[in-house]
Amino acid sequence: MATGGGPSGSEDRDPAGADRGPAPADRRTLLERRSRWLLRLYPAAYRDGRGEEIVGTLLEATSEDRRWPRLRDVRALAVGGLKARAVQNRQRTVRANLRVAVMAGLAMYLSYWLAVYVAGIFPQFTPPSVRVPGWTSAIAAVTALLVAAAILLAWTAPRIAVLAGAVAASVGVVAFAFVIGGPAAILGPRLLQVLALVGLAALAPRAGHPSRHWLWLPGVIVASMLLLVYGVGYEWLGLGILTPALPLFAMAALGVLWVVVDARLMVAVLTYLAVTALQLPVMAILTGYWGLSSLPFLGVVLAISAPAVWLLQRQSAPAVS
Amino acid sequence: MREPTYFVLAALLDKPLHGYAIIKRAEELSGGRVRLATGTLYTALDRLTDEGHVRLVSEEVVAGRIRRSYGLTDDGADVLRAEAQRMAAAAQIVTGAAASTRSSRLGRQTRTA
Repeated sequence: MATGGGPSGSEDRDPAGADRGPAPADRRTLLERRSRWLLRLYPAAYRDGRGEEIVGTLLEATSEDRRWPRLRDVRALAVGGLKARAVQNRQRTVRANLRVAVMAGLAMYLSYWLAVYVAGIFPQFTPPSVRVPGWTSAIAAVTALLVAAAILLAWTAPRIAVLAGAVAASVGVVAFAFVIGGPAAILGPRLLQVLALVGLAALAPRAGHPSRHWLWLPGVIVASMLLLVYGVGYEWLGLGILTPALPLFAMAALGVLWVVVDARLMVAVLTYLAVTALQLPVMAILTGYWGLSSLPFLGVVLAISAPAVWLLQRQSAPAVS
Repeated sequence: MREPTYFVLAALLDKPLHGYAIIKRAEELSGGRVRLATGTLYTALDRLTDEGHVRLVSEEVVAGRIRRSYGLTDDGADVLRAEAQRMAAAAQIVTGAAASTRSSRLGRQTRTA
């Protein structure tokens, strides 16, 4: 019975991943590095427990002349990683999964405005088409800092700090609106920003905090918005007003693809879309201006949310009574 | 029970083995038919451990890397035997029928002769 040593099967010597380029030790290092990269398909907690063991077995099972893992190993690790993620989600209650998804969606919405505030710090660099008149750099900078802190605290700090951050950011948002446009400017999107901050604080768990990897969602929103505002501008690709939404479309597409494994990304994107779609009706109600054109869009978002939440419920552990 | 799972359990029948040894043993026992990919093996080991059919027996560090050995539990051995009997019974339907067909055909040929 074989209990150790390298593989000797001819299949391991197919030319696809083998070559005579680097020295054997370098090949081994490359193979190990690529194997570790593949392991990122597994959840972090799983990698901490099993990662080294899987890499060890993979290296033992792969012939020494290869620099890349075999295709069937790549496929099996991808499937295994997705299954491990699905199993991990089933260990959390639907309440916990829904909480983190909605928090991520609210953080995405706040990130959009964070980018708008950052753009207001250096208005001279923004294209005239998107420059908002009357902004002062100083208050834009303070508001941006407060909103950024509130988003980060929700993923890194105890609940009391999240609450303090949300209150401070709310004051910043209201003060900013007041300075640039007077009392009327506080309504509409500003009000929704305050509500999103309140929601973020209310949803923050009493003990611990959600996984920080969710921060990539607000990070993408901020980065892409700033790139658009400072760099290529809104007219990029000739799509006009749709251009800022392109990263969001990409996230939504990823959410659809990922929904079978983890519906939280989809719920997060839908939360963001729902809050954004609420902006116009809220302004309409508060100002008397008839602007309910986004209501059909909101209806579509809510209609898609129902099956997404149902799927999330199926992917979660039953609630503890 | 799927064939890879059957051979993972069968590989552990004699003694506990570590990951790569399970892959080699399963291939050997199946006559080269079941060649487990590493990801498939660990997905199966996770499931079998959760179901109580396999247990962690020992841990050692080899070349700076952790190596765990897994063994069959009593429950796992029972499940494996039950599966082997089920497959043997299923095979008997075909091989038994083939044997009786052969013997009756032989009988007819003998009578004709």
